[in-house]
Amino acid sequence: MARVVLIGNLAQLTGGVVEFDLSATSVKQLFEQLAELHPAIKPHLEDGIAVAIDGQIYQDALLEPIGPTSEVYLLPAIAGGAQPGRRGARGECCTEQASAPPSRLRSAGA
Amino acid sequence: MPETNGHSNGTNGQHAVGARNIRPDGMDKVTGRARFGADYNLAGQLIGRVLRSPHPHARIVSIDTSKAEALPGVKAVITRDDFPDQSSEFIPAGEMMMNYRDVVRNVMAREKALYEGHAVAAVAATSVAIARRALKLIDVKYEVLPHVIDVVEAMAPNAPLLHDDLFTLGVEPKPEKPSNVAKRIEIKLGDVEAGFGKADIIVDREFKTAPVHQGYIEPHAALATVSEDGTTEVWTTTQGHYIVRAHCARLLGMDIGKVRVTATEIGGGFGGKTVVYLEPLAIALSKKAKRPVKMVMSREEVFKASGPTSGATVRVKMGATKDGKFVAGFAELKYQAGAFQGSPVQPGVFCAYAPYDIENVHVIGYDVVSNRPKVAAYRAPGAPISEYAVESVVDEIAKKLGIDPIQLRMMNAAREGTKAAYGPKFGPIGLEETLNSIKKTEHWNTPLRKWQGRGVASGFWFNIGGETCVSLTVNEDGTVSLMAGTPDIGGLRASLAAVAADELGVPYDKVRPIIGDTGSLGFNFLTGGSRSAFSGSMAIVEAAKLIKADLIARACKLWEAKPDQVEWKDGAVRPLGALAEKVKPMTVVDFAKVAGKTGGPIAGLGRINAQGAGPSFGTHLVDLEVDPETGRVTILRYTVAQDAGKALHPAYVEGQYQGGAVQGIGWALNEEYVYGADGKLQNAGFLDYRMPVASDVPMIDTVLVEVGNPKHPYGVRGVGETPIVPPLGAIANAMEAATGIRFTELPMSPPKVLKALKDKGLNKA
Repeated sequence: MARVVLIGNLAQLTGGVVEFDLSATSVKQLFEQLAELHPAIKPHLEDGIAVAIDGQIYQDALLEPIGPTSEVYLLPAIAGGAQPGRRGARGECCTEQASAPPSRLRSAGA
Repeated sequence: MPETNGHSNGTNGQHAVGARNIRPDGMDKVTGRARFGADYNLAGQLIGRVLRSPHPHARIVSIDTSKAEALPGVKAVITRDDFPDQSSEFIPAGEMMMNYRDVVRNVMAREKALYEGHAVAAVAATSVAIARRALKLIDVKYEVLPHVIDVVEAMAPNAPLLHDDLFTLGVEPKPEKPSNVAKRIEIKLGDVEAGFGKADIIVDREFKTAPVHQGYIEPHAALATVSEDGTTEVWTTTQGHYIVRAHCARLLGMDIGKVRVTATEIGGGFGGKTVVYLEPLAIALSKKAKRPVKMVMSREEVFKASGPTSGATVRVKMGATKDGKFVAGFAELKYQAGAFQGSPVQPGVFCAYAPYDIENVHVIGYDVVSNRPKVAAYRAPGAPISEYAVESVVDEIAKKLGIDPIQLRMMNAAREGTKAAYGPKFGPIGLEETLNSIKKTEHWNTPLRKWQGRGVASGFWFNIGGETCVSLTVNEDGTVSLMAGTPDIGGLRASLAAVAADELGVPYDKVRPIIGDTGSLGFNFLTGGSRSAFSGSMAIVEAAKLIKADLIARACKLWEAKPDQVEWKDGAVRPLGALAEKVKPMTVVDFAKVAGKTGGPIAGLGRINAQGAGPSFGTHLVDLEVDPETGRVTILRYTVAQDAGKALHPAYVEGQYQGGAVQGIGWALNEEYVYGADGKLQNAGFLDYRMPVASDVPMIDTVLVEVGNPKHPYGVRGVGETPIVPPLGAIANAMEAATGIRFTELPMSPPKVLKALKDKGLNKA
């Protein structure tokens, strides 16, 4: 099982849970398993998130393999990470859904 | 190393990579032939000018353009009504994020003008004089509102609100009232309070830095033409023409495929040319006027309306044992975002303690809006500010403990396997090597006189990869055309040409690199994050692999051989075994001669999403002298040591080190935005905004450290951002050594230095 750790504000989307043991063998599977456990985090996994696997940071790398003993960190994208015009980027660890006020982000349909 | 990387030039046996090759763009630049943004013109073009808000904060009640439109020679006027509103969607802007809802409001004010210089309207006319007269005829009625400039004042509960729908993200419980604090972020490692409990010494300091502009010499410039069918062409000075294309298409509701953007030669960007200002305006004006429109910012507009980087208030508290082991680090960062959210506080938080192996770290960051231009990326966005504060405190700890500052850094340095405060463990990194390199310099051991001081500081930047597409084409005579899609702001063409030369076994000067427009290659993310040479060279290797595979296949057909009877080696397809007695090796030039008869043109497209960027660390050493009568500081000597992984073009890498150091010197000593009580910028020109010039600085010495990045075929790390990180701390530490005063506010300009000296009774030599 890979050890998965959330960095920064991401844990606000998982009820404060910071660490997970997941059976994912790729970044794509990891995102799917996390989203199933905590649906609030799903929109934030699609863009603006970097994944550090055994110390190496990957961005926009859904197919990157994860080993059974890998140590994986999820953190806000260092730079770029999602391209304008390519798809909707939700940004760096923003928590508009978790924060939930009728903010400009939400009212505008983020 | 992959087998394909013979790294040898088949023609002369020498490597192009690592050599100080002649710059392919050098001749045009020194002769004035190179065409920068403002050098492009089209027949029948109009001149575009922008009307800007005179108020730092005002509601726009009405805009009447009728008189301007009636002026002979005026062909188009645009306002907020010409830009459809955008939904909230975050997109990358350089190394930071920006929201399209804010972007459309930044390029043209909608409900409110949020800073002096905010665009309110624009005109296109047949001459500059007519355009200027037209701007005066636009009647804008403002309801002037209270403004706030300072970051701490903007966070106060009673501060004037810029956005009444901005609620702080990242805080619990969720705020019920809007504020100017867009976001709170934090990272934690270990137990920082327990860490402080183990400390024998604790240093707790507050620092303040001024916002500084990237200071590129070439102002923003754009030329746009829109045809009757909506096909659009743009020529602009930018760090990312694919990003310009995407932003403009989005803001103006166009298909990306109908927009073609060409990046001109660029006279500096440093992160500031990763966003759009003039481009969507020029397109909108051209569309309305049905003629090409050219727009160029004045220097005053550059200062007032294009992004500087954040000013900030930073508190740093560090604890260490008496033998020098760092046991806890806390920091609180408050970064100005300008008028819209999106300061570089996130990387500031991550970078603050990255150079050190500390078990217990807690960093909090705030992203704060105020009535200033929206910040844009600036070399290692956010990192120089937080690392300046930490490096100052590290120096103070060294002094209090009586430990050599390099030795103290060495004792606590991050190294392979160190868990970074922002999460992952580092792979192979070169911080220790840079510290050792500095300690071995003659500079380190040179004696100093009274009023002279020596300072040292280290710095870190992540580096990134990202989507990259390049092409290699073998021409009829065996020369090679190389096309990249990331603007060359620091040696990209020379670096990629060297890699292509070594990969294909052709002489360096037979590779001609150019930057293609957006219609010529697949998507490329922008030049920034220290990614273009790293990612581009990986893509070149991929393109060359395709060409070599093609040439091997052609050789097999020509020689009626099987694949295992040939190999690519030393710049040629070579027959193996018995076949070697029948046929001669074929080089790229040989294949070029028979390309048409063996399958047609020879070309390779390298397209990757580059991963594996290796972090970069550097250590700077500076000697300076303080004039006690005037407070003026003179930089006497400066040495940069930085890990490049592998320097593809050493002279360009050294240039990056030197340029970053000089920009950092300006940040530390002189540069700042000066606002009056009226919220207006008082120094929007190079005469009053004091950047270092050549006569202000000594030759910057450099030490190339090369700890290879195992994830890159040549070992490359990005080099452009890290060198601006250490200067602020190094100079502050040298100032302390020269005067005995710990300066905690930047810039350390003569008036501040003189006041500090007077306060201490030190202003007489």
